[in-house]
Amino acid sequence: MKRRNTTDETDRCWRPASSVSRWSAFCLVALRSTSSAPTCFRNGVSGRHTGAIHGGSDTRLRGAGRSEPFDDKVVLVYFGYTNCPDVCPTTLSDVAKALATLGSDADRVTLVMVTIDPERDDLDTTGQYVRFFDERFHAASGPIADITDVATRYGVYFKASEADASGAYDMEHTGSLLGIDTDGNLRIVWAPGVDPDALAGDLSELLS
Amino acid sequence: MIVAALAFAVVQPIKVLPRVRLAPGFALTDSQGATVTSEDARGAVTLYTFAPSTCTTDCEAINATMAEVQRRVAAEVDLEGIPFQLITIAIDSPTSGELAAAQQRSGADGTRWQWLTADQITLKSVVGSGFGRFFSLASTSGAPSFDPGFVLVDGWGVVRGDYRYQTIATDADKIVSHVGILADEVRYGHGAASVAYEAAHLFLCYP
Repeated sequence: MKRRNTTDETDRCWRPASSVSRWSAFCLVALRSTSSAPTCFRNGVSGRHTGAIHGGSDTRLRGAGRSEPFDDKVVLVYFGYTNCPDVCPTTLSDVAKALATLGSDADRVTLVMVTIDPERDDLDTTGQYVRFFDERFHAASGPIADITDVATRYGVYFKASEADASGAYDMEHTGSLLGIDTDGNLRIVWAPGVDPDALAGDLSELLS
Repeated sequence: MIVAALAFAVVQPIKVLPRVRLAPGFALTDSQGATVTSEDARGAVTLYTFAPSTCTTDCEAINATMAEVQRRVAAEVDLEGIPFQLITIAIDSPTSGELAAAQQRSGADGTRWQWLTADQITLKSVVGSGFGRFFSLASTSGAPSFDPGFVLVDGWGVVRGDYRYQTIATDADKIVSHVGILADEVRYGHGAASVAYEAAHLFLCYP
């Protein structure tokens, strides 16, 4: 057994930060505006998880690493696949609807869908798929090991179902939508089925 | 706003646990060879710990803490029907038989407290990267080395407590107390009160 005398994370005590009042307003508004309240992370706790994903273009994952700039955009990260029958197209469609209500602010938001089915989804296929919903959306793909590693860090699980006689299969997966702020920190997680209007309200606050 | 914040900080009418980070997604195997995923833990409060299946004397304190937390949460904490479960992740990728034996030795019942494992690549990703716990099967003593500790995860899959070495050496009081705080949030954090709880997350020091 290896023992290191470290501090429990739970023992942390809040220290004032310049963005606290803005963030508190955001979380309170988010709670009021959504029927199913999203999870707000006050301190942007997962910035180190976002290094593999970029907001600027379709991208090959290169394993999780340090946080990268997102060109001052709020980035929504979603793990899905192009043969997804239900939750993926619904979520992408709802995000597109939310962006449509944001006006010019929508240009400061992008979505990156990381495919969890790289055997069937190459980068081009995934890129075409997401841009069917909105031209501003991007795709990410890569080796399954890298995708698994990044998904694990985002709390996302996925697994292929048993193939049927024709070889067709579905993917079981976590359907959460993750919101990363302009500093590359994870700030909010929406459960599947978030209302587009509520999502737009949350994004507006996240941008302000 | 400032007055309200000060009032909150001084009076501390609501205690909350921090939202530390997302717990990792995973698909692990139980002692029967069945797959258990992080999605199976959605909606339940889960206490995780990490140990090799071969660990005996060194892990007595870990197993004793898990057993005490399980017993005391059942007896002392009203989680309003929210399930409470315990998971020990075996870091040495044992066979199903070895995992079952370790589970039995620990006193785990295999349902509310179960042992899970996976191959080393998956475990490095889930335990190492996801839960932030060091472990190595190659040590000078020949026995696996690891950082002991516990992680408390809520039903949203968010880490709410991350307890490291010194907790092992003490007792389960802190963890049981924190499960009670989570239970209060589950019980009272609805509707308008959810705003008060969110304010507590924003303005209070943590217990």
